[in-house]
Amino acid sequence: MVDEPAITDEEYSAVEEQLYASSLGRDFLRRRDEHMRAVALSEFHSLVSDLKASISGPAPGADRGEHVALLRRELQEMSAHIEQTRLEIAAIRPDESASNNRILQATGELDAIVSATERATSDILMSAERVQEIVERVRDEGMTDKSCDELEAQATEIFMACSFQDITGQRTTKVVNTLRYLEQRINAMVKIWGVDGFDSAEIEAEETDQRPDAALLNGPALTDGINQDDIDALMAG
Amino acid sequence: MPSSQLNVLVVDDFQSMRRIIKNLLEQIGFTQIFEAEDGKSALAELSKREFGLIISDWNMAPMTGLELLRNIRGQDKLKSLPFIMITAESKTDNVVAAKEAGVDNYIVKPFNAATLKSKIEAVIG
Repeated sequence: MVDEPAITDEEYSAVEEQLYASSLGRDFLRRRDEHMRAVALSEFHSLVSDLKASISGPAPGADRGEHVALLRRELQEMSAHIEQTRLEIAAIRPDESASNNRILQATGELDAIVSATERATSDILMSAERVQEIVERVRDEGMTDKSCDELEAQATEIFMACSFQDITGQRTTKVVNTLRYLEQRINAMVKIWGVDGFDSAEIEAEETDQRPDAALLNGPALTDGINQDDIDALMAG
Repeated sequence: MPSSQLNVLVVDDFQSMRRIIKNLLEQIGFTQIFEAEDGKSALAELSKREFGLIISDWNMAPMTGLELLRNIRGQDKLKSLPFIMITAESKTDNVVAAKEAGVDNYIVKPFNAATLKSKIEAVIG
């Protein structure tokens, strides 16, 4: 339970003003201030003495020199870790040239995949369209409707299969965007840690899959979507 | 089934995808097929002529398929235009968002010709 103050701020000020009004009151206030200053100074000196004793005195239960040595070792380890981190960051982005920047390389390779599949898809579509034109012609020339329909159906299948390029293109673009984001973050770290000019050769490369496409072997996750039947149910609901 | 005179607008930023959908629509019987590569150019097309159906992708810049849908549903003249979304976005949240925005049907990629045909029939009869 908190005690209510016996006197409010307003009441305190009013009493103080009354005291100031008389000579005796002013003398009382002066003596009170002197007393408070003396008490505060005494407390300050006592605090300083305590601090001096705790700094200069021996630490309880341990040798002071041992503490200093421990502190030095911790600082040296921290310094080594910081240095290692700077080297690791330098290894990720050794310099600005595309030939040495692994993220830029990966981004470029993915862009190349998108372009290559786009070109291939366009060629396949063109061939499927040509097949459809031929089917129309041979139908007019007397080929059976059944055979023509079968050929058309197969051309349609080719068309539909080509839609993979749109999906893989979109997913690859997402990966490219993520890589670009990572590059921005690494560049920000480089700026903060000031690792420009570090020799990345000091970092030993880990033994990993050495194939050129090793980093691209894991495809995008496919588990977070729903299928057409579920979508139909949602639309109907 | 469809009226060959019905204007259809296919909106997709992938040229190959527009080509695929256009080909399928031609097989179904549509002859008046127009293309746009994003929501903004789709709106420009919509201002030029009357359309009976719009088939749109979702992920496009600068205007997405969802933004296009919302824009269309906000216009008195176009708010009843049948709109089918064809997209690789298959998360429940996406379908719900499109439905709330007023999509008439939703097709997830990859799809087949039969799915496209049945969804078009469901939308325009």
